[in-house]
Amino acid sequence: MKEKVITIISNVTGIPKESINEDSNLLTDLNLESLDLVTLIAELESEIGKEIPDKDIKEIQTVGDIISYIEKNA
Amino acid sequence: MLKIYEYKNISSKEALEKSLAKHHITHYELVYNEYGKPYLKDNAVYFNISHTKNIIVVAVSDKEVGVDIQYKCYKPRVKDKYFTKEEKAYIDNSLDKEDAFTAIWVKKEAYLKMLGQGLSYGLNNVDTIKLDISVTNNEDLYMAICLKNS
Repeated sequence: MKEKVITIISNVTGIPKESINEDSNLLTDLNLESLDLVTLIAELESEIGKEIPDKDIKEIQTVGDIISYIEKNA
Repeated sequence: MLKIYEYKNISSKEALEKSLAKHHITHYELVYNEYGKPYLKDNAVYFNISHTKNIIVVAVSDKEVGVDIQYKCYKPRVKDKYFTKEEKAYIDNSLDKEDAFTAIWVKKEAYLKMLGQGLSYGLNNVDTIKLDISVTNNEDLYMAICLKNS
């Protein structure tokens, strides 16, 4: 799952996979803008086949948070 | 009062300092609401910041304000998930889908940032077709500004 999530983030943002790790903060380390963030959420939903509610987005701050969220909810 | 300041290649912190200095605010403390929107402590001046790539815009006002900038783009999956039925129809019927998508996106963001609730309010709970928020664009860079009660 970690590899898949990092690949999706890399595809959405154009950031090389090698520069992304579980501790990367989406806003402060990867500098995601809000449109990048919702694009990422939409791509992840498509990948896991399940909706991620808006209220849950606030809880997602790092790449590791995304991986944990998917593992818990997919 | 509403002033918009635009900068290139500086941090949000620097951009805010420069903008507030133009309003004679040189010493300030930031406080945050429960959704993370920053405010000046003990000061009736409001501000909001937006950045995209190397551009930063700071809006300063005596009212709650939200600003958003975005380079022209089109994200069909974002439209499908986060836009209202009316917004989707507007984009689908537009000859320039990138223009329509970007204009709606910056309006949504500016409105949510004015409210100070961010994404938790729900992007699809905002129907920009019914909101009177103007969008300006300088070539491919689009900007929307939303003032409280506007």
